[in-house]
Amino acid sequence: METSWTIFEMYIAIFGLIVTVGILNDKKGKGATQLLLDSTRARLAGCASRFNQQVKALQKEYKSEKKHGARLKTYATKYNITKTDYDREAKEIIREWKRAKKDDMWWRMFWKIVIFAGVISLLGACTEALASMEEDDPVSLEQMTQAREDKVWTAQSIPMPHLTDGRRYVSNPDGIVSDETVKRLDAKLKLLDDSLGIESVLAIVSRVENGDIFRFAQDIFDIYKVGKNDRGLVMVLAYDDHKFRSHTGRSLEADLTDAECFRLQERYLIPSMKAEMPDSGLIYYVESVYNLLQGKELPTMSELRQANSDEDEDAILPSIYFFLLFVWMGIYMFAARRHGWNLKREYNGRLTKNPFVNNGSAFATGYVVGSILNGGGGRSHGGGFGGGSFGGGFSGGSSGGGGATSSW
Amino acid sequence: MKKNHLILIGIAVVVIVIFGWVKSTYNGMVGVEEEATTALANVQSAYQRRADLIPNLVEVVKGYAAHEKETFESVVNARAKATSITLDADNIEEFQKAQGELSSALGRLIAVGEAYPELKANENFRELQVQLEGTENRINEERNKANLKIQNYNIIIRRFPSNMLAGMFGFEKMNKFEAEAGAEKAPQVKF
Repeated sequence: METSWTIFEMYIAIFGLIVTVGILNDKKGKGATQLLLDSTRARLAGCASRFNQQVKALQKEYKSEKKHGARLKTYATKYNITKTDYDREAKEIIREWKRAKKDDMWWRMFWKIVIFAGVISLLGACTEALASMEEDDPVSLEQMTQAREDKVWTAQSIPMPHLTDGRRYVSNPDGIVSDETVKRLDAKLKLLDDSLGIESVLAIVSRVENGDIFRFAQDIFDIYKVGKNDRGLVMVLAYDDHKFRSHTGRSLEADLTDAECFRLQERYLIPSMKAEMPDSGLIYYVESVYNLLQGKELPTMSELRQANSDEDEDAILPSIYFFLLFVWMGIYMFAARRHGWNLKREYNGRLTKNPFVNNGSAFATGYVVGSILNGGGGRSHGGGFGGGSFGGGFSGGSSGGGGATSSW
Repeated sequence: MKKNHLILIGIAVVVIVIFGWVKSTYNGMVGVEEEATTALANVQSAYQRRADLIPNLVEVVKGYAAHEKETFESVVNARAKATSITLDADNIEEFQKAQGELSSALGRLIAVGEAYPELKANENFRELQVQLEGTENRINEERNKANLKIQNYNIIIRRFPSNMLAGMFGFEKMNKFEAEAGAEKAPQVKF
C-alpha cells in the first residue's frame, strides 16, 4: 500500500508540474494567433446561426403549406441542401484559418504527448493500486488443494472451508468426527463470531507435522490471519497425537487466558478424549468456551466494526485515479479549445437537427448519453467482506502465541 | 524560448524523481526500523510477562518446599538482574544472557516442584505451569518475529542503492537473537 501512495505522489508531482508549466506558457503570448482563432470562431458561429435561421424559415414554410399538401420528404431534402451549403462554408472558413495561422506543431505535439503519457501512466498506477489492494490474500488455491491424502497435516496443507463459506469454521479432513457434529460445531462457532465477534478455526486432524501442535496453530494464525482486531481463536485437535491446543489471538488472550483455556480443556475435553469420544468432547469444550466468554464484558460488535473500518482507506486511491481521468479530459478540452483542434465539431452541436425526418433515434441517443453520464458518477468501490455472512475469508488477526495445550 | 522551457521541465522532473526516491527510501527505512524496534519491545514484554509470573510461582513452591532456599534465591536474583536490563538494538546479547540465566534458574525451580507429588497435584501450581509454558511460547514467537523484522531491516539498509542513504542518515545494522546457550537442553533433575 505504501508504494501505491508513493507512486501516486510522484504521479501528481510530475504531471502536475508539467501541466501547470504547459498551461501557463500556452496561455501567455501569441496574441495574433489567438485573435485569428477568435475571429474564425465568430465567423463559424455566424455561419451556424445563419443555418439555424434558414432551418427555422423552412419549418415555418412547411407549417403554412401543410394544408395544401406539402410533402415532408421534399422538406427533408431541402434541409439537406442547406446543410451541405453550411458544411462547404464552414470547411472554407477552417481552411482559410489553417492557411493563415502560424504553425503550432510544437504545442500540438506537447499536449498530445503529455495527455497520452498521463492517461497511460494513470491506468498503470490505477492497476497497481487495485492489485496491491488485493494482494493481502496470502493463500493460493494451489496450496489449498494440494496434498489431500497426507495423513500428517501442516497449516499449509489443511483445507480451510471458511475461505469459501463464511458459515463454516471446522476443518475435518480426516473424518475424525461425524458430519452431524461438524454442523453443530459450525453453528456454535458462527454464534461465537456473530454475537461475540470472535472469529475461529477448529481443525480436527489425526496428526500434525512433527507432533508440534503449537507450530501448527501459530502457522494457521500467520497464514490465514484469523480474527477481527486480533480477536481470533484457533483450536486444533490432533487426535492420534493425543493433543489439543487452543490458540488465542493477541487481544483475545486477555479475555480467554491460557489458564482458563487449560482449565476448560482439562475439565470438558480431556475426559471425553480419554473415553475416545472426540465428538462430545469438542461439543462440550466449544460450548464451555462460548459460555465463559459470554459471561464476560467483551467489546461490542459496533466497536469492532469501527476499528476495522480503517482498512477501507486503501480503496480511496483507485477512486482518486478515476477522478483524475476526468481532469485529463478537462485538460484535453482546454488544449483543444486553445488551439482549435475540433473547430468544426464545436459548432456542429449548435445546428438544428433535421426536423423533417421523424424517427426516434435522436431521442434514443440523448437518452443513452444521458444515462451514461448519470451513471458515471455513481461508481462504487469494493470493500472487504466485513459484514457479509456468506462470503468467506478471514479478517487479518494475529497471535502472539497465547493459549494452552493439553494432552492425554 | 521553447527549448529553454523544455530543459527546465526536464530538470524539474529529474529533481522530483530524485526527491521522490530519497523520500520513499528514507521513509521505508524509518518504517522497517520502527517495525524492528516494535518487535524488540514485544520481545521485552513477553519476557516481562514471564518475570511477573515468577513471584507467584516461588510462593507456591515455597509452601511445599520451604527448605530449598538456594533455588529460590537464585531465581529471585536472576529475575532482578534480568528485569534491570531494558532491551534495545545494542544490548541484545547482554539481555539474552541475563534472561538465559533466569531460564535455567526457573528450570531448577520447576524441577524442584515436580519432585513433590503434593505440589505437582496442586491446582495453582499446575495453572502457573500452564501460564509459564504460554509465556515461553510467546517469547519464542516474539523472538522469531523480531528476528524476521531485524533481518528485513538489515537487508533493506544494506542493499544498493539504499545503503548510500542508510550511511548518510545513520541507519546501522542490528543484531539478531541467537539461540540461547543451553536452551536446547532440557533442565536436568538432580536427586
